[in-house]
Amino acid sequence: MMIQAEKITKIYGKGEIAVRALNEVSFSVKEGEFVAIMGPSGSGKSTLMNILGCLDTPTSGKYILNGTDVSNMNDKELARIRNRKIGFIFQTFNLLPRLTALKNVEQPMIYRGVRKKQREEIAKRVLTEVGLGDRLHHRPNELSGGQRQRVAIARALVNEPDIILADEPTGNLDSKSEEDILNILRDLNQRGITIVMVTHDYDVARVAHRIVHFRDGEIVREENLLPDDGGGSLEMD
Amino acid sequence: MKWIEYIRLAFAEIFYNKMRTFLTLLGIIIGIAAVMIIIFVVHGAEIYIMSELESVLPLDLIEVSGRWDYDRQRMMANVTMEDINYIKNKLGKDIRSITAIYQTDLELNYQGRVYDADIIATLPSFQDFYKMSFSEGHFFTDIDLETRNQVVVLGYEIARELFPEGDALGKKIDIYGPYTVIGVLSESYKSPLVTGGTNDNWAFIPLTNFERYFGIKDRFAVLIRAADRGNIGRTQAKILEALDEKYGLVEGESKFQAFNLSEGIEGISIIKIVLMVLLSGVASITLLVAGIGVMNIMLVIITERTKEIGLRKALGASRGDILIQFIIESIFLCLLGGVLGIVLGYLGSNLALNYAREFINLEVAVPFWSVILSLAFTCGVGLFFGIYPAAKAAKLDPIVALQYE
Repeated sequence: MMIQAEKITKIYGKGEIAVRALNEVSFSVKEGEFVAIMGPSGSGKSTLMNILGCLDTPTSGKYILNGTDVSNMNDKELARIRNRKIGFIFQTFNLLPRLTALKNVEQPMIYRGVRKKQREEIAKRVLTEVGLGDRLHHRPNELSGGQRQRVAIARALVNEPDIILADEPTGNLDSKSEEDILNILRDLNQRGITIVMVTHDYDVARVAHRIVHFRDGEIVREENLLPDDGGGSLEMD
Repeated sequence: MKWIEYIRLAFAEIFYNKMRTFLTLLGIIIGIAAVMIIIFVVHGAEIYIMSELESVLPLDLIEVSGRWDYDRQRMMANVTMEDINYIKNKLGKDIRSITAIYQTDLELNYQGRVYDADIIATLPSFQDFYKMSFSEGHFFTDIDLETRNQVVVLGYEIARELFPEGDALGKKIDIYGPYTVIGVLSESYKSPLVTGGTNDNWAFIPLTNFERYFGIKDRFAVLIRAADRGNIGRTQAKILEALDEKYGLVEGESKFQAFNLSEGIEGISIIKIVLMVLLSGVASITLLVAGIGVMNIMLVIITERTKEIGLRKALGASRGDILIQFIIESIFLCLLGGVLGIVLGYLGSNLALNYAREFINLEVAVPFWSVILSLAFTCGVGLFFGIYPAAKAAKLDPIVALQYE
């Protein structure tokens, strides 16, 4: 099991004003699975993504990522997990504006301690794979939205993560670019990379094997889009 | 390796917003330039004062003599010619030179022209003690000393008075008997700062000659130059020890005494230190204000780049990584100011030097340690005033930072 989250509760604030963003959510993702999470804003899907991404820790419950219990790790350990095991893709791309595509893609490898020469080689290779071999030295403002997101995908891939977490990856893109990005994600998944994606667009979610619907901090429904042998939990509400 | 990357990033950021960087650094540039110029001026003044004093008398001078016995009304001991060789051998490299002198006033007479001169009866090694340049001839030698040759070296003014035609060399003048002129000195340097010290009215004769004529022996003053001025006290103690070893003590005390100029020179050092402290205080306040400016701009930079910080954390940066990145940025920001300040300070120092040279003769360079000090100081300012903003950046919650617009 790639992701095993058991009875995850997240409470923001204390006392009267406390907000229960997640209420005993249990959620699992198999290795190689492609899962989409849907739900209205405030449903807790972003909170879950933050916890899955080790950017936040649950108030209670247990989160096991690829066999490692990360529920009670400290800042340094979490940073290491984020660096080695998780690749993030954001709605707003979050590229560093003053760095070239190549340099942007190199950043996660700096924190891993990869040598400069090797870093450049890997970054070049992965950028070429996502179709940007001729845009290595362009800055983000010289690239289109789809190209920027492809740089971000390359950045998510360079440390060979166990899982990719994509938060509305096509939310800021036109339909042509959206298709490109979804194709890339589908290719990556077919190469064996586990993907969890948040979206509010059902057409986008349908790329996944399974859709998990959130509401009020709880999972209300799961849809299995694979006819028979598909991954994921089969329990349905 | 990470560090090199942080430094690259810092440079990219620092040069991205050139005008803001420059304005932020103005305080540091002026502060460091002021420190450089202050150090240069004090350093130059010290070198000037020392060289002027040196032109009058050697600052590493030690005078050794026997001690006066008040009860018996006589000297407890005298330093003999043999002792001079003994000290020379015993002290070896600790001393630069040793000599002996008698000094008295005598009338010099050449064919009715008379000059009342300071007679210095001494050894050839006396040349090591005063800067002497010869307009003609040379100083007397060890052979002149041994054979008690009646030879004399004349100071500039004596030669001018007795030989207005300038043909002194080889002439015989009367001191207490006929002496042949073998050398004439050129006019000595007159310091605008320190009076005295001119040898223009000195006449030099061999010491042995003087002793024979006056029927005395070993009553001269002994002058020694220490090899290391900073160690003059220890050298002096070693000389007395050597003499005590040979002559023994009287009532537990040495039969000899010695003096040196180190205390007077220490006075100069204290003035220098006080000046440095006062002026550095002013410079420190400037740099404190400049440092606060840097801290302010670092806080602005961190607010501007909140999203970047969130992203870096998502990509795997720990708190420590973020802390170091921004501290390095702050240090390099300040270092850039330091380098510009050093350049400005160097130009200012040379401007001051050129101005001073219109009045005095001065050879002095910007001391290298002031460059190192300035760099260290700016690094310190960057580190100190960078810690708080960097810690603030490191503590940012990655989720909040990522959502920051």
